[in-house]
Amino acid sequence: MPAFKKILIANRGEIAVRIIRTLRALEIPSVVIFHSIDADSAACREADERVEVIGDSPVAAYLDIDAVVAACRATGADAVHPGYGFLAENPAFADALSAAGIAFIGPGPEAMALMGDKVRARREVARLGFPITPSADEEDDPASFAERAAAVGFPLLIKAAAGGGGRGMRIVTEVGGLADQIATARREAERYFGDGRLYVERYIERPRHIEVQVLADSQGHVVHLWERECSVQRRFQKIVEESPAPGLNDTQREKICETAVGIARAIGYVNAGTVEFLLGPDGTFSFMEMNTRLQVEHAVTEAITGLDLVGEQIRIAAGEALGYDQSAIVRNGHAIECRIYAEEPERDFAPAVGKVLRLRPPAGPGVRFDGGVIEGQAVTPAFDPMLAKVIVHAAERSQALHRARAALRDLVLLGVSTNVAFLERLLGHPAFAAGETHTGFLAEHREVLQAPPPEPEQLAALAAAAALIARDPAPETPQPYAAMGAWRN
Amino acid sequence: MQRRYDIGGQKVAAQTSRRGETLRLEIGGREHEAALRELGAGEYVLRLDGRERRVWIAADGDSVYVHMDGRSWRVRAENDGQASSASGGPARADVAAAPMPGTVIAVHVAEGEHVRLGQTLVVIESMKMETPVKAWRDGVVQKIHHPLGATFDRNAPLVTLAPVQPAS
Repeated sequence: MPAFKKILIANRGEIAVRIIRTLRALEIPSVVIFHSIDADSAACREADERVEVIGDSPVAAYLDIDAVVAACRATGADAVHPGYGFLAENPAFADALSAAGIAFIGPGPEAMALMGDKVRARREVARLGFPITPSADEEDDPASFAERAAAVGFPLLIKAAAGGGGRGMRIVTEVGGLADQIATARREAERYFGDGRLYVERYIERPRHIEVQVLADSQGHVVHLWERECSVQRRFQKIVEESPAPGLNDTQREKICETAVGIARAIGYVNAGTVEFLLGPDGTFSFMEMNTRLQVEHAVTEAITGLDLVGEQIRIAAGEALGYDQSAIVRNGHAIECRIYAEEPERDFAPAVGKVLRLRPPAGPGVRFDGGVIEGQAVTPAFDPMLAKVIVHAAERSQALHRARAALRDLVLLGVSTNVAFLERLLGHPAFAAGETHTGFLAEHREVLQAPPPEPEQLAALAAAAALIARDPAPETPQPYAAMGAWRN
Repeated sequence: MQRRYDIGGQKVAAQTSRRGETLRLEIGGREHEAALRELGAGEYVLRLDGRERRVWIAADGDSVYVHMDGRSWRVRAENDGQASSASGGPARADVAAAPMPGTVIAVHVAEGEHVRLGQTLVVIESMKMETPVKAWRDGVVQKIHHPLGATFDRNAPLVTLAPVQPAS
């Protein structure tokens, strides 16, 4: 007996396709909402049913709570999976579904509201006795915010209280730039989150970003699914994630995972969540934030544990008990995820647009491709530029690195500039191979950003390919001369 | 025929001629022979001077995308006019072009206003990222090409700055 009769996915792109895969395995019919810009998308093709939503912009369409509720009613969906982004961490959305008698596949609105407010979350976590970094909150006394921020010590990080996903975050290295950076961060925060409140925290140099996946059921069972290391980032957004974290020893691993479970349990968390920590070079770690949703990089955890996180989320939302304890969750091998973005790493990761003309996903043992694009699809500036994820799993890290690099070389994605070749160089960098990752990795190793120039022989091959593929236009020279071809002077 | 390409920023001039299925091309004084055999949707064997490679090729407008040697390349055909504008004609110094498609989310200056080097002119947003467009030199704002809220394509002109007229 399936947990739900029909599940609506309030999302798009690769995560919508990912969720549909689990629904198929569970034999639960799927519905997606879509904006007309996505009418021919992979998600629309894969879903059993689709409901168009409209809005002032494509993003606004996917944020329309009333439209999602109406789509559930129209299709008979009795549960909603929000994916990540859009409405995934919006307590008002969970409330609206609950009022309509529709299950939200995620945590309760209270936990979401607590962890969604980064300031409240840090205070609560500190109050519960877990470690946080030195910080200053604007709302304590807005007039003295800049002064108190400076007192935290430079370099510091300005963050949006309502933030996430790297938006509205600024590093400030000296007091001189502080006022301007606060103003910019506030503008971004107001626009992205409708909430301009800020806080600052001490910026830890060369930290590792370590996060722990937790699962909690409504009966109070909480387990962790080990950690993920997501240090290499650009613009505060992750690009490569792996598990196990190369920089952790077993004692640290146990401790950080136990801390995550402790936090989830203490706040009464239910469903899948991720507790993010900063690990300093000295081995101390502190709570950064908790993401109350499925994460982009969940596939890494699925690879090493064998669990289907979307399936677990659905079971938990239906009120089932986990049915296993911590000892049953065994780590197996090493997994790495690379996020494929439409962007140009050589031009400071400027987003790229275009049309997917050719797509051939990589394949082979331990290779998984989670994609949301199909051939012929336009890549527009309307959405986040992530196109797909390549996830590999192998017995140990060096084998996983080789597998990931081969998969990236095999991936054919033509028609839009991507970071694929950059990712392949990154994974081949000696410091990355040695596991010496930290959040400033790309700033420290700028050389990895630059593509090596093509060899003369490659240039000839590329020019030849272009010339051969071009349908010859009307001859520029009169036929008799053209026919002489190479013998012509 | 003479062909010019931009391959990842490198300019390539090739003299090409066809004989049957074979393309002869001369690049930088070196002669090559090439041929293409289609294997299936977009997949080919490219032979260059006896070396065969499996490649994927897709063409779109003036660009040809090639997956070869484990990575993708964009080969852009250039005519002479494009080649000279890309290398930066005199007019380029007066116009800030959009580095990516996006939306104007703030306009900080008015047409006719004198601005200083480094002053923020407009702020654009693309894919949820905010980027200030700053004055690249002292000047007078001659034109704001897009009003607040307008969307634009990559390389679209954003702001035209006229040089400061010397005081008479």
